[in-house]
Amino acid sequence: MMARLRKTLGAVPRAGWLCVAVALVNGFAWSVITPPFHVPDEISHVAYVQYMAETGDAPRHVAGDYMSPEERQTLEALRFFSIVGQSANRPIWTDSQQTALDRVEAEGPSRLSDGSSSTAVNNPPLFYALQTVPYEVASGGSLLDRLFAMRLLSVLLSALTVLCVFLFLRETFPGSPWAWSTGALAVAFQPLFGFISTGVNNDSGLFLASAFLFLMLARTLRRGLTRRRGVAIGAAVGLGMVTKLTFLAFVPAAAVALLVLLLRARPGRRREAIEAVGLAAAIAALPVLLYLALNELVWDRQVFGALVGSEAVDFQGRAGSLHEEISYIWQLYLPRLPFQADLIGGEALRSLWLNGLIGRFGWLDYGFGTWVYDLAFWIVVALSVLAASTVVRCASTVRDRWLETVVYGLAAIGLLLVIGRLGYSARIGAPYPFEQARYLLPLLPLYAGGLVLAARAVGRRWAATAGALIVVLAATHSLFAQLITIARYYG
Amino acid sequence: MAPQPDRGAAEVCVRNRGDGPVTLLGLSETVAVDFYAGRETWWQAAPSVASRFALGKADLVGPWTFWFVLALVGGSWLVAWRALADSGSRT
Repeated sequence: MMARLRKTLGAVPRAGWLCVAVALVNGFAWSVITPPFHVPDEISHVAYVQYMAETGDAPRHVAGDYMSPEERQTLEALRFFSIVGQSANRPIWTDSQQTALDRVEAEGPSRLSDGSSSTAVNNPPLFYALQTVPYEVASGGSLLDRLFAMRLLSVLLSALTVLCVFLFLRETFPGSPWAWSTGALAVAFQPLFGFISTGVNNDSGLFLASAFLFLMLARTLRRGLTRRRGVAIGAAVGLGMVTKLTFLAFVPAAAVALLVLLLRARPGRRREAIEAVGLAAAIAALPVLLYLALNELVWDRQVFGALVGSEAVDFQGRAGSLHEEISYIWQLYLPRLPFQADLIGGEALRSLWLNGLIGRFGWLDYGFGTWVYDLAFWIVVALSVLAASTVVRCASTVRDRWLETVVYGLAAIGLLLVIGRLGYSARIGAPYPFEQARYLLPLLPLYAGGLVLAARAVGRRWAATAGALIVVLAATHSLFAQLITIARYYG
Repeated sequence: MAPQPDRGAAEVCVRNRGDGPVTLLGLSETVAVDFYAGRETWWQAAPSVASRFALGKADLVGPWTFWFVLALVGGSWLVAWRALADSGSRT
């Protein structure tokens, strides 16, 4: 098995490893630039990891504090709660404030919390279990040292995501090596991805599992269904499901891909195809069943936690309706129709998704100047037109590869629907809005593919140059996102 | 006024000699007062930024980390360029 892994990794072109290096370096930069706990919900995710590392248990819906005295006192010494959401306020700036923080660390407050509800409580445990490793490695240091170590693991996961995107593009555009680097680098420099995926947040694991699934689907759709590829798809689905339950969005796409490939299998290969589908289903189910069993038998948690995170407080929600939910999901992605009540408060496509992907950072408390979003809007429009023109020009290829188009389309629609359902649940039941642009980042391989299609619109001769220009644009975008982050917290 | 060392608690008198209003912002128990002699360029502010960058983080992080990170970001551009050149040569 190790020999096979070595062979597989050895087959990755040097450009792929260079893209990984870029992701590692840029991810490390983000992990150090962003102050501790200023990645969304990082306080809850760190609390989950700490509880799991200290007790071997998982948090559940019980009364008490989900944070340990150590985490709460560290946050107070960092003045976290007066900075988050207040873009005019800055983290600790003086030696006396650092001394106060050092004093908290020296006192050694308890690392044990009550393991109660936070925004992360309903999440499956895989990401947190992985993060207990760096937590333990740095356990001799302060909580900030352990957080730093955990972020380094997240950086590694983000670099592996970029590698999966590179390999996905190699399967999808096999005759265009420039396209593999262009798309992978555009992802490595995507600022929202860099910011989120290098913090302690299970989205980091979700992005990797999603990119791996897209890679394996592309490989299987292009090369055929084998037992080994069935195992890989099953592993991607199973591990994704126990990383974050929104991964459920991709299950229909994976199922359709496997079933169509099974039906199309030649008689001589039918038996192997059946075994491959069986293996995929069994391997996907295994971690999920293990998770359910642990919830029921060991951790005394809800058997299958609600998809939407839940606070320790009870919300007084209102009853929704299917009609309103459909209207809400429509408005989340498309212009509101004249007969629809405004459920979003304006148009979401640009203000929520596009501007969010261009960059809203911290706990959504800072971003670029308005003119940047306006400029970015027209750049996105231009790139979309270019990508669409490539699709039209290559209509016969798209027709030949209809199954890939259907599977990727199903994956995208599945994610949009899951986000919409969760958003509606939060809209009627939670005191805070749910929708954030980062929830679209599991579609990073398709984002990279779209950029490659845009570059191809200028013709074969200039496509690599256009791809290089896109990467320069992405790198500049990333640099300015890092500079406004430095200005937000230290300037 | 000459630069003062960080004293922790201190008493500060503020007199507005200009035309515009002056507002002091801060928490109920602490108010931070920063003095700026005119407008700083980013380059002039960089050493202060580097020292603030190290506060409230892991022990490993020091003011040097700020410069290191800037160098890394610059390095990532060069590596990206190499990746593009490498794949472009195989087009």
